[in-house]
Amino acid sequence: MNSKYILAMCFLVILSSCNTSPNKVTNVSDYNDYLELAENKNLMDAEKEYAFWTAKTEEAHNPYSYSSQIAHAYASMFAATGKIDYLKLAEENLIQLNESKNHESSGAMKSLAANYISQHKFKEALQLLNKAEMNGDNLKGTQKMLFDVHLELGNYKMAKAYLAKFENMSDFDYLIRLAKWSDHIGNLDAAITYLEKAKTVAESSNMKGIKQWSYTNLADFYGHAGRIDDSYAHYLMALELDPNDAYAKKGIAWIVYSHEKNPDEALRILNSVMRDYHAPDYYLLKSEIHEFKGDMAAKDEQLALYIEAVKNKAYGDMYNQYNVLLYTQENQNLKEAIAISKSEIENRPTPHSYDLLAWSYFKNGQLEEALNLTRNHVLGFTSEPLALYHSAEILKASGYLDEVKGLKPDLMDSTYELGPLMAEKVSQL
Amino acid sequence: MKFNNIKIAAIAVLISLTAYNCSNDDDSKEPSGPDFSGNYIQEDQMARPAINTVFVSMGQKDAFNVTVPSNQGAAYQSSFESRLLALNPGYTTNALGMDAATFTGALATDVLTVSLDGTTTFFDGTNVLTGRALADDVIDVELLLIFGGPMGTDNGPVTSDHVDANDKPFLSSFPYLAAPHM
Amino acid sequence: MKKTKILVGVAVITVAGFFAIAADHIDAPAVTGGTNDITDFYAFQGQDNNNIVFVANVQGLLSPTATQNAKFDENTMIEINIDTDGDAVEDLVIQAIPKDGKMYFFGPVAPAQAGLMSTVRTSGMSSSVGITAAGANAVVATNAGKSFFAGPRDDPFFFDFDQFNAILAGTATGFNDPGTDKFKGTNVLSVVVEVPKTMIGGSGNINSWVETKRKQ
Repeated sequence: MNSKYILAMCFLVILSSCNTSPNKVTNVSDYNDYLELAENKNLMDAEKEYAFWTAKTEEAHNPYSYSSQIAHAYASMFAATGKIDYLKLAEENLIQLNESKNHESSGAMKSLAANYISQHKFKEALQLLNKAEMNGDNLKGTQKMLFDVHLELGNYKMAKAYLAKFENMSDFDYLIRLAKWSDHIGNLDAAITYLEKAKTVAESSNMKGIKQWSYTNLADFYGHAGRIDDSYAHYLMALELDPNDAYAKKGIAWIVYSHEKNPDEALRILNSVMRDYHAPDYYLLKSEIHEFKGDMAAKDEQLALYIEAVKNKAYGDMYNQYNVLLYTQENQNLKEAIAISKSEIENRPTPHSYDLLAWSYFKNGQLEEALNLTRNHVLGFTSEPLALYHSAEILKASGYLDEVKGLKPDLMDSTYELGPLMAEKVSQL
Repeated sequence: MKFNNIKIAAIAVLISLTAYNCSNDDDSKEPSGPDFSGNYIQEDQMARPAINTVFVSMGQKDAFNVTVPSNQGAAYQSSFESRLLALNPGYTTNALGMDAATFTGALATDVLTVSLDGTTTFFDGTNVLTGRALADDVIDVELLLIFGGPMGTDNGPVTSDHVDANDKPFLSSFPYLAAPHM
Repeated sequence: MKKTKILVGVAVITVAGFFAIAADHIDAPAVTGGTNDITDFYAFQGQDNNNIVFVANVQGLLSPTATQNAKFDENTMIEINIDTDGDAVEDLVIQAIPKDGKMYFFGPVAPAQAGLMSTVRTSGMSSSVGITAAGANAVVATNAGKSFFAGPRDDPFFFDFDQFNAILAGTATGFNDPGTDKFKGTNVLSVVVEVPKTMIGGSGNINSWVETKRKQ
């Protein structure tokens, strides 16, 4: 480390200490090295992996001999870059793999189902998993994925029934799903407890993938619970394992923005992430932070980048929910927002999907429809703060002020999770 | 020497545990050695090569992997026999003179027999199933026994995969397996 | 009328909330378990004719890059089972358990009980060996005539597996000559143990097999 660097660091520290507030949790020196990586190791590894298996394919009799490995390399490239085209290339290879196996290999079906889950094609995933379950090979693994898909589709009875089929309190896979279920029924404390148990199993197995997964997911749950210090510590633990972990960096950016109200540093983190990682929702996050700063030109610029990015047909339904929220926020394309929400309900009749439709109706001036949906499908069915906020606005406009008062304390507790702009809205309820 | 090392390690563990117990200071936590407690439950098992892959149907694999070998014969011989006759409808006996029931009875109890008295090989022309050496072309042996008929001369196109050796030479001394490709 | 009011009231962005995104993050955790899949098992006379060598391999088809990142699952016991009296029930076991970069070995020792559940026979502690890093020279530990290794090796298996599957699927009628070794150029994670024959029955025949068992 040369002295110039040290000097620069000191300067940084002095600068950032000017911003120190009582809420300060993060410390630039904890994570700055991760923002200045020269290479994306995960991407390089995936490219080497791809080169190895394509070379082997060339000498094989069967062109699909290594489709599974090539698909895995593409999926790793998607994870490392957020570029949707890699996920579609993985899908292509997995479809070929299934054809070459006469659609009889449960392993091949499950690999394709996992790809469809990433693409939010839950119904297609369900079809494959049902067939894999009949096939029987590695049945517990199939049942775990069936739980995931039924939960996404809003088939809660089925999800719960599958969860019981692979109960094992020392199995990482079971514990994380039990946590997910606990979160779904609104028991965040239990969700955290089970995820902490899963973390213990992951650490005792010392397998990097599941350790990292449990760190970032626990960090999220700690955030839900308002435990910002613990959340930050676990994002850092994830980065220690994988310095390229874009998700953990985004998590820290959120703490810096939402909790510490330091938009410039949050943007600096996100800009560094986006050198390697290109998921469209990062533009949305940046646009929100620019708005918080009052820089509406920069906000619009990021929104335009988002809209351009999701024009890629390959995204399919993946950004439906974001688009609805965007249209309702900007009061544009409200008819389209209603149409997308309806198709989301058809695909996945979850409280979250009903909330989107209710909110779209509300923004379109159809208060009665909005209120009906809220009462019948949202309130009491989810504890997700964004849905509750929407419900509160709809109730308020309908004159049910006592109920709004009942919702407000929970929403006030969720202001970190909702972000400063939403927090402002909540306080005005 | 090694024995002493182990003893010293054990004492060190003991001391660190004692130190921890006597101390009120949380910072004095010493690593207490690996934890080997608890129960370990079976997930997978294997003995002879490719038996599970070839003879166990998809729906049976989970169960086969957690059936103790002493119970495998009774549980799987008949399905192995059906599978053998599906693979080779013309099966009568094989080069070992085993009819379908005898052959699949031997296969279904998936253990690898190892001789402690001399040559260890899957099959070397003389010795049969006295172990499995790294260089043994076990697949050709199995294909021959499944498809080759009583003289080992039937179904020529499927009695050898024509991959006769490993891509890297084995070592003559421990650990015998070749270094990994890097 | 109401609509105008709303237009003024809710002009604030609500889209990018981090946790709306986080909800998707939990979607697709890979189902674990592949780390325990046994790929192969070998048992043969050692370079010293008085010894038998056991080889257990897990995690097949590792590319050189994947080999750099491959690890033994430290919640898994690899257990070599030895039946000395011909009833296909184990009389002795050799247990291998990875912890913090080392593989710990126990046995050959009588198991606490035969069957699907095991406990570690800590009284039968044999040795431990550092798990050899990818690309490094093999690290070997010896103790009382026994030798131990754990780490990545070239997969010793060779087979035209794809053509075999094509024949089974009915899309091919025979093997090619020469065939294509599916496992060429790929690695596995290996555990290799060499023990004196006197410790596993001395003479005659034994039956052997390998199991992976997960800590509960």
